[in-house]
Amino acid sequence: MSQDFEIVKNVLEDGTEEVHVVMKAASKKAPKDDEKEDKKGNK
Amino acid sequence: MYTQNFISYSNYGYVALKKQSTSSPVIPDQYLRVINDKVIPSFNIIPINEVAGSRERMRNSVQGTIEVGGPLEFYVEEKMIGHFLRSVFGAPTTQTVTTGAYRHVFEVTTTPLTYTFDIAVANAPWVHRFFNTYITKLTFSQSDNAIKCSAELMPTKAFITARVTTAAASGTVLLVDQNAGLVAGDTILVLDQTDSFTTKATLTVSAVNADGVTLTVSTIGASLAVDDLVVIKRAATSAVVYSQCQPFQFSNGTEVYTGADIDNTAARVTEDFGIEINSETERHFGSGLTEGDRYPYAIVVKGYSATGKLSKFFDSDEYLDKLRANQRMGVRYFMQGTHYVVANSAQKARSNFGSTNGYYVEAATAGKAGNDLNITIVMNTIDTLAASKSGNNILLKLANATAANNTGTLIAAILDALTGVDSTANGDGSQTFTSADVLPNTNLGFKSSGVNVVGADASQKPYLDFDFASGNIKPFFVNNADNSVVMQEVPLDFYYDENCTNTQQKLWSTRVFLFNGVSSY
Repeated sequence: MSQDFEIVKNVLEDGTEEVHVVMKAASKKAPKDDEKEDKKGNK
Repeated sequence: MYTQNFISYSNYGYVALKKQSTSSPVIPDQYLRVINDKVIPSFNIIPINEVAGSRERMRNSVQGTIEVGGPLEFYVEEKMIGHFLRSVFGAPTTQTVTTGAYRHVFEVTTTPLTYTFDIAVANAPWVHRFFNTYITKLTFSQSDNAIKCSAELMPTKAFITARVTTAAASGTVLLVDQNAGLVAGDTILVLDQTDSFTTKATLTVSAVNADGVTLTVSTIGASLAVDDLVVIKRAATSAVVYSQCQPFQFSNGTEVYTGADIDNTAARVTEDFGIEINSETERHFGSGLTEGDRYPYAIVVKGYSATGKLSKFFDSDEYLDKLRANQRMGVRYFMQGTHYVVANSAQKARSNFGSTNGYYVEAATAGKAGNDLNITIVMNTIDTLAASKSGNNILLKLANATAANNTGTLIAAILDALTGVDSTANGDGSQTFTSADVLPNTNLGFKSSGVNVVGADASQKPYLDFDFASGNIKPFFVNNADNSVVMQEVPLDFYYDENCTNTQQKLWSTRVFLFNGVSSY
């Protein structure tokens, strides 16, 4: 099962991390694997 | 010349215990090294005074009820303390951390559990038995750097001695004035009433009649007279074997942590500590026709509470400020043994959510510290899947309208984007999560359902960890005295962690984690 989505991440001043999912229109293609790697690499 | 019947030296004595699964006594077979015991059956005698026509007072007495209780004091080590915790809290949740190593999590349950204790005093050939015993208080302290516990015992009944009520010289029936406390399999001694010591017969009990007075025993081969004494034979010296470890220490063995909540604490140097765990109970006495009916017919369990303390010299107003503000804080007392239980690899705390197509969440780093990661699942106010992480606290907000926005894949993706935590979908990640999956605050590795992995350090050392989710400081102050270091003796009350403005509240006051090589309590 594939879904198009993007994860948005913010870090508040007190260090709290906030993330949420932005669903993309179904016609758009799924994120490429290298994009996912970037997101993980930014942790 | 005076001849001692037996050696009265206390070190010949012992304390044995065994958990009961019902209200019936059992034969204790686990031995506890103690510092001292002060368990006392109070055979109350009630004076009766009457007007009876003479100067001499008409004084008489009747038997009163028998209250049994008192403390056992012992050094705390990783194995036997579990029994005392089991009695106060109820059965723990036991998790296998790795082969041969277990984490027992004690929480306040509605069913404190009972034990049978046999106490041999000095080198007497018999023991005193206390059964249906509740532990009503555990007090932890340190003395000369060793961690001590004083456990307050409240047995429902005791078997100290009984009296033969019908002479017997043969057969297998022995009538006594109390059989409560005896168990099939017990070995009893019948002592000559003339000196209350000489053994006339050694018998094995095969049945204890519910009438309270009849015993079926091995064949009686001696003349037993009315009022001869019946006692329980002590264990052979070779059978008194201890399965205990070295006591926990204070310096190089104990750390005290405080923090905004129990999963986000930092070590605080303390010079002394104290923990007092109270399980309130009440004895109820009733009618009956046998000697055993002088004991309570029931002990009713009431509330649970805990207090503590920490001490440190005065060098800040932090504690006074927290007292003034009635500020809650998480308080952890952590005691650690010196040698690992088994040589395990470090492992990451993990919990699974949903079924085969759900997801799991685990600590990014292997180690015991990962057990402090916790997750709370709520419904978002909008149709967006979101999460946040502050310290070790993760808050997952499920999209409130479209279940397809809350698949295992999506949830794993956003949780995995948080620092210090990894998350992966299980199977194809297609399971959707809804309001039915809202979850109160749950620590990784301790979810009530699904597969959990307990976080552990490599070759994890045994530990006893008291977590108090909401500690408030009780009134204290600092004052001067000539030529002295001003100390802060900070008393603590431990409350139920509930806060209507905080969805990540713990909803408990106390958890005790015991990590050792004992597979069950």
